[in-house]
Amino acid sequence: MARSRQTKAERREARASGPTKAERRQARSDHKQAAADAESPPPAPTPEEVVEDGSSEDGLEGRLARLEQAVAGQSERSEQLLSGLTAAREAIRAAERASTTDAADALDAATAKGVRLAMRWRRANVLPVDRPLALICQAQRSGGTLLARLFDGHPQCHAHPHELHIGDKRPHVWPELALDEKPDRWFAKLQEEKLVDLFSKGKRRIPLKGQDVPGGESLYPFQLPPVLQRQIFLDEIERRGPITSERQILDSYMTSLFNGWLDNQHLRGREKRWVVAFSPRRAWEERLDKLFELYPDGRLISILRDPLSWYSSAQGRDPGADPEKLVEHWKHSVGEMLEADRRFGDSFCVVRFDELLLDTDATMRRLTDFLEIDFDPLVTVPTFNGYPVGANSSYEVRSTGVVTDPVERHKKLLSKEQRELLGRECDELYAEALGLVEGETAPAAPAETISLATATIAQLSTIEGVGQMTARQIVEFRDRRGGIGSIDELGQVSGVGPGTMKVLRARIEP
Amino acid sequence: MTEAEEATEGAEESSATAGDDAAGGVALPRDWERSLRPVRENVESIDQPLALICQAQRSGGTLLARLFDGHPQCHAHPHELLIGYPKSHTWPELPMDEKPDVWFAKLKEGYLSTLFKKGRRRVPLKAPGEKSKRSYPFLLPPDFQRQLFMDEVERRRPITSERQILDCYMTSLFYAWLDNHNVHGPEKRWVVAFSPRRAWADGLDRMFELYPDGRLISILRDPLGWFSSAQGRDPDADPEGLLELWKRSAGEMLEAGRRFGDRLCVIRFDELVLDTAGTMRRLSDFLEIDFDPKLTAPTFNGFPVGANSSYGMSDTGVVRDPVKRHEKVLSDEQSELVSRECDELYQEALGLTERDAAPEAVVTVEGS
Repeated sequence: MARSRQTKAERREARASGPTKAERRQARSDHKQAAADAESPPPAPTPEEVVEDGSSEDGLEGRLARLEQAVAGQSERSEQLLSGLTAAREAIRAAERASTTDAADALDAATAKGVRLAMRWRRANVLPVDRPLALICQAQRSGGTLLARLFDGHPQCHAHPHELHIGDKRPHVWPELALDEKPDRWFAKLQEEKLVDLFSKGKRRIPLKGQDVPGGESLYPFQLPPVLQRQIFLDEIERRGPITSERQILDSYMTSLFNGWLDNQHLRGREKRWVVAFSPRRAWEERLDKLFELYPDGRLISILRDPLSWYSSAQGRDPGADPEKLVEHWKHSVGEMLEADRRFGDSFCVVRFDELLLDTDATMRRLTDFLEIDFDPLVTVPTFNGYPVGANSSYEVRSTGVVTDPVERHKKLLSKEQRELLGRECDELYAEALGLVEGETAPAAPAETISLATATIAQLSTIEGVGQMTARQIVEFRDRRGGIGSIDELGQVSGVGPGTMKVLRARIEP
Repeated sequence: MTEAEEATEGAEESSATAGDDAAGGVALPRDWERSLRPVRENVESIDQPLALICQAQRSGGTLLARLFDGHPQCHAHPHELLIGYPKSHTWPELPMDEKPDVWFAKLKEGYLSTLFKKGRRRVPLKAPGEKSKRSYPFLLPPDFQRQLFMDEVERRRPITSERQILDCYMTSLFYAWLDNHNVHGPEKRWVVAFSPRRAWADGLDRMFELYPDGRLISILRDPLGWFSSAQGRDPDADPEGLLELWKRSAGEMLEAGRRFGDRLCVIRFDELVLDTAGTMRRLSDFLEIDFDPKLTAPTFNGFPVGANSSYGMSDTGVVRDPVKRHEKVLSDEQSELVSRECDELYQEALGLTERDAAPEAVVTVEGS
């Protein structure tokens, strides 16, 4: 009100003698920052300091892995070990929370401000994610990572960037989310430590390799600031309130994950139908009921790998593993598939590992039909956020794309005794489980092949994933050269990427 | 930027921070800088030619640029292309004996730095002083862009052409734009950007000297519709000056048609607005890229966008009102003046659009 008593001239004079607009803005900003600094906890130790303390991130991660392994194998000590595991996770969470509160000093002030503001605008423009989950679930070493990466980039799917690790005690167990808990507590139970770790390392390492195979990885960017994800989660809970179901909490989490992931290439565009994620063992036993309790509109996908090839892969990953336990694990996985089919057959689809590798196109067509989404050539090439990806193999793999070696590798690796053991233990169950695959609609018969030597633009345009323009460029390319000796040469045609090449190989002959 | 716009932006910033938590909102992660390293390590050189959208302002250039956003075969510039020295709409001279820092200083788009400092790109753009409805995040740290530019220059050494320098700049732009949603995916064919007047007079030769493999796209807006839009944006503008600008733009299209006809495509503004799918099909044929339904819905980095209109707009997507708005806005005298001055030239320029194939029938587009 005092201002209203000033004349315009007085106000002009006051402005002229006082700080400029920019100075006032800076002062406000400084004041805000000072207030924030005063409320912030002390700076967290740097990663280097943590290492000196003997509790590096790798150390904690290793400790987690060891504890988890021990929990799985030694039930009598499980309570004690679970307690240790929880403590270790809390330690990581505390370090992460502290490390995200006062790091503006790592950047110059202008950049820090720009990044902060961009994150705020990100928060202001969140795309709610409430699509049901299409969960890929079976024993490890069955191709789950590959299948998850094949869904990366499908325009109707939000594809999880890693394995789904939500869970407050073990990463593959559904968390209990009591509705009377506080949102921060929900987030603590859901937050995926692996994603925090990937961001803190600044990268997603792909293709994943056998533990004893050095080098050869591709390191790709992964920009999911945990503090932004948490903030979006809390915003979303607030927006959706009152929260009356666990599903709403999970939807808020998925919203925070896919929107907080800054360089996510597939957040927007076509309307999404599914959140697709891989999580081994998450839908086993009582967790199967929990899946469809949380997601009555969800889908379950399992990959059935033949016992010989699965065993050789599992043994390759862990040469010291007890053979009998490995066989039991495979049998458990297959038994769970049979159970899921009995109880939730309409929402369940089993695909064969060998078919996924040897006929990726047809298998993915079956899965896109199952999920009621369009087939897109992108689903035949594994990627991470658009980057090329190789196999998560127990053996050395040099190429990217779908590699077919694992299907036959067991023939070289397994002894006669091992084969006999597996045949005796697994053949009957395997034959029964194959019925789950055969019960599905058989993949469509391969379409008629087209001769590249005589193909017209109209003929090539009938191939799904090949537009008229690409078809024209292929024909022009062929005619310019006076013919084409190998289909591989089409890789030189502008606009023909790996996905299109795969489709072309399936449909045309030289 | 006008004072009114600055005031609006200040208010927007305040509202963006209003919901922050007690710790001061979203703090920066300590690991931020570390997370940038893999971005540097995974840069793939951008050396695609430029498809430049160029004509007078108020002709739909912003809309057309935003229609290309998200096309899997295009890198779409996030704003107007403002590389240039000494003016932001003129091609810079980039002598080979200059230092990379000088090249970058000449190319760097100050407006993008301004957007980054505010952390957002405001769309749809409105008339001066009118508050915008939507602001979207924009994360392109200028220092990081400079770093990527230097990396790319180093990687490509020896630099022997200005085109290489421009390619280094485009590489740095699209990769340093950290939340760019369309940097990966199927092979890109074009960098698409809108820059009014850049390919006029000497700029036309310069365009095809730098990008002999480039393409020029111009939008021809009927003079009545254009005049009412231009006057709506600047009510005090001299009518004769405005008409001269329209005539200049149409004249430049005719000149480009005469000299670079095989690399020029002229489309009509009214057809772009009324038959977006048909017009975009023609443009995708011209650019030899696949038609994608995304081409029919304007977006900024995947976010829905409205019209860059001189009049209040509440819709997103392609709005059709501008085509007939002049009938309500212009007086009889104004309409007569515009017709007298421009009709003949307009008819001649329309010939540029008719020589291309007619747009195909409108098709229904799903889920764009």
